[in-house]
Amino acid sequence: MTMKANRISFFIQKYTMVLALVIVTAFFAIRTGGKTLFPGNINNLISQNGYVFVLASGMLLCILTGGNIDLSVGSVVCFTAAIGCVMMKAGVNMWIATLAMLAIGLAIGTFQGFWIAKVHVPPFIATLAGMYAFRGFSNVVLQGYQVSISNESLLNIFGGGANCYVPDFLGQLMGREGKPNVTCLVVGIIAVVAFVVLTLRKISVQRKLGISQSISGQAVTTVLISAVVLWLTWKLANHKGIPTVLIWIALVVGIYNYVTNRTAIGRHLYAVGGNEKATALSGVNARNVYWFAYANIGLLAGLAGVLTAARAKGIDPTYGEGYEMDAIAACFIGGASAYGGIGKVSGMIIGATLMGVINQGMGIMGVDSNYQKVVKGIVLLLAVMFDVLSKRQKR
Amino acid sequence: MEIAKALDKQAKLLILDEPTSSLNEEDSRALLDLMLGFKKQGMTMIIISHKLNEVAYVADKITVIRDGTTIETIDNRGPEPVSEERIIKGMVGREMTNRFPKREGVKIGDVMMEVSHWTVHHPLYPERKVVDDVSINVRKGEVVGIYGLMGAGRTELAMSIFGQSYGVNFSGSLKIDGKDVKMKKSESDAIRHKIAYVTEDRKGNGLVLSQSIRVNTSLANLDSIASHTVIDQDREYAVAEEYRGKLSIKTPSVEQLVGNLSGGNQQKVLLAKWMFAEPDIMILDEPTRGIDVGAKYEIYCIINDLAASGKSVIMISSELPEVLGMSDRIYIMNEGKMVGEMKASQATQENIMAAILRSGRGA
Repeated sequence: MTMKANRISFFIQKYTMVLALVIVTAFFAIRTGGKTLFPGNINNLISQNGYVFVLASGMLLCILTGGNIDLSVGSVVCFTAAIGCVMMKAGVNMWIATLAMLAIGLAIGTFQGFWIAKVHVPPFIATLAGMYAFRGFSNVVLQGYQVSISNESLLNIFGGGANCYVPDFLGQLMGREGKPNVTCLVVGIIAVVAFVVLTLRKISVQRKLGISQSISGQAVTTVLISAVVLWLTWKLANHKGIPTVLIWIALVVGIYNYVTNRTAIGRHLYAVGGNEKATALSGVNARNVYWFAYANIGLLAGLAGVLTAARAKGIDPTYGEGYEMDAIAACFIGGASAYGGIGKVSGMIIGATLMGVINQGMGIMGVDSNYQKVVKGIVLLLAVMFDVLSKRQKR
Repeated sequence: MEIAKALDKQAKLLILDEPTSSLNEEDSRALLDLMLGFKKQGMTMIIISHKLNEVAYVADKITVIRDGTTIETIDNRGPEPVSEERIIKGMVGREMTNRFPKREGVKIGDVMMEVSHWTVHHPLYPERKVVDDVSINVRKGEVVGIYGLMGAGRTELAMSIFGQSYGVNFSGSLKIDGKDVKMKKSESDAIRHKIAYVTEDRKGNGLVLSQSIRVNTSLANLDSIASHTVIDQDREYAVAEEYRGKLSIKTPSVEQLVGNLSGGNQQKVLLAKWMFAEPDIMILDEPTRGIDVGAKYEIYCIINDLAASGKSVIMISSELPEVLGMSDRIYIMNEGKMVGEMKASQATQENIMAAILRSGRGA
């Protein structure tokens, strides 16, 4: 009896945010008469929040080092996008402009990381300075005006304009057009099959090594995730197919999931956040770990700049405001510890999705945008409060 | 100070949890005498301590608790205090004839590391010498004890040897295996030179408590289980399991968070981490601080195994019996200076303390 109660409470603790996401999604679906689940709206949910996933992947690494955040990313997004747009307007090749945007983002991140890692400026201050400075620079570059871009291929590839979808070449090959989008379905099914195969391999290795992980638990998670992916695939296939921005999201999230779980630098990030002194005494250069985290988020801010410019078909000096907060909120709602050392990419995905669902649901319901902010604030507070309370109970 | 606060509230029952863990022997004695004074005034007190001599000295009744249950209560009102062996018997559930396992047949080899005229200055007050012209050496297969009171500069000496992780303005020379070594200010450089420093502060400087045993074990030597920075998790798991077995770390799984382990098991994880780094020279700083008698014995056995496999062990300790029981050779430090060196066979509590007192008067 108590064993069972224990297991249930453990389950609730581990999957709180997943449950919250399900409840919130269901709530909005019911309140809007299912509108939020229309294929078009699912598609918008992904397109609108692309930058959150990208920035939050970088932000998670910063938070892992000890609850440190990067306040400058919103301004850096605007600055890199501004430079890219001005370059393209002057006739520079789109790939050169894109690379320039990524390089500038990386350079800014490296610069800020230098002050944080080597001069020991608190990250909060160093990036606050960056937030002001690059907002100012953006204005200077744009001279206060909006600059728009019309390069169709850039828009398509980075998720802007009307045609920012992976073309249905498989459907064309089969000689049929329209819905459902065959390429989208095939990609979705391949992804699920690959996921299941990888999980099975993981379980067999665990059994070989005698790691006692509950297999039923893993099976349930695998089935649930597969079901969600298939459902999403079906919805998207009945709209216009895979939005190109989803590929960028999947790429970034996949890479950072791998980096945090499987690589030495990922391990160092967790270790520095868990106990910096002990990590340094184990021969890890802790300052370089900080440097890596901040240089990295600069690079991702550059990518987010590209995505933002493409989606908005241009840039205006106010773009990117508040992006840093969306990324930070996604990480904390996703279970990252404000003291560092704890947090996962998978959690961040849930956090970012939850924020997106709430935003969109309230938008469709027609909630006043000021109240939308209030609700977001309450959600963030509740999420972190729950985290703190459940940890205190454990002690 | 805390005790004064409690008295101010006119407490009738005073519970002291490890009241002397941060005091030196003299102050501890004073505190214990104070307790005896309170007792005469009719105050009830409970003292929780892992220092057996304190409990035997001050308590009327001694209750031994192990693994969360009461084992026995010993009456201590006789004219002679209960012997430590009697208490230990209750703690480990068997008679412990020898608290220090014998090291037999270990051949002591050539000099492994030689530190000469080592001087280190305080990082905040660079005019102050924390380690002053210290020369020590350690041989292969040898256990060298460094004894001194708190603030004698032992930890500072060890950390400054370990990649200059403490202090500024270093001078002196360091020879490893007969070769002069110029070490950079970097811990990874020290690890490359096959030195390990096992800290006295396992929670603060040693372990990442929010991570698993597996992660902590591999932290100082990730390169050996990774190729091109990608960690081979199967090998990592195997390594953690291997050391869990070797050091008999009591845990249901190596995925257990280190923060959930007892002090003795945490210390073993810390040792596992540094053994996995495969050093030739291991500096153990207070390796048995704050852990129970049974775990201490196991740690001593590990130290003996290390020496038997040809490693050089430097053991820093403030517990005289431990230094006497475990070392082949003993260095004595006081106020940053080396004030004595003796073979374990010649050392006694008296002549070690005498060396410290002599140096104090001389200064």
